[in-house]
Amino acid sequence: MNAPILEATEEKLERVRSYFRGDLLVLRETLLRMASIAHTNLQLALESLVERSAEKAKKAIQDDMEIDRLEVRWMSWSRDLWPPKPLWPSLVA
Amino acid sequence: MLAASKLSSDLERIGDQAVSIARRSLILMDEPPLKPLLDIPRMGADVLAMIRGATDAFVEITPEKCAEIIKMDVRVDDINRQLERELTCFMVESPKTITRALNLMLVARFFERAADHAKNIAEQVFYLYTGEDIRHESEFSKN
Repeated sequence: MNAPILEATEEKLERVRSYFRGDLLVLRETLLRMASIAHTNLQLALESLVERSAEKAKKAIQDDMEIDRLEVRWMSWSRDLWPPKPLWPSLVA
Repeated sequence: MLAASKLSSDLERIGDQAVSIARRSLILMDEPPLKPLLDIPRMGADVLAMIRGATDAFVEITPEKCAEIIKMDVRVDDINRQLERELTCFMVESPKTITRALNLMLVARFFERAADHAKNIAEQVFYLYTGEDIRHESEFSKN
């Protein structure tokens, strides 16, 4: 009655780790790409202001769409991941 | 994962601030410069360093770097307030400068908001790796 439903053995923990590992790498890459674009765009916006460059301002505006695209990718990824249904039967079994 | 979700949201908003600055920059180009730009490039450099630092802390798993990033936000806020006072003086002295001064004020405000988002990222990265919430700890931002 009081026995734990889910005993955290090393084998089961490894199954959890491997389940998330691939997706977390995708997430990390997505976040780094977003950070890189946000940094570059802010730099372009600053340079456009200092150098009075319309070209740089327009590029900063245009490239922002890539961040939005990556955010949609991130949202889609998290929607697919949660709840992690395929994982639980193998752990409880 | 929830911390990572917040990082994504803050990065997207930094992108939005960059777009807002670029749009104001296009408007400001149509008129002669109001003053030499000194404070805004300083703010911009600080914000860029904050984003780079927060990203490095995330990648290199170095939450100790986050405290320095959080302190930089205070400096950006100070420059913004100083610039607001200076631009208000311009507007009081000459109404012809109002449009340009207001646009510069908005640009400074956009940088200040971008710095807030970079600070949020640093706080999230710190939480992600240490499990400690430093959002309301004054020693990080005031010392």
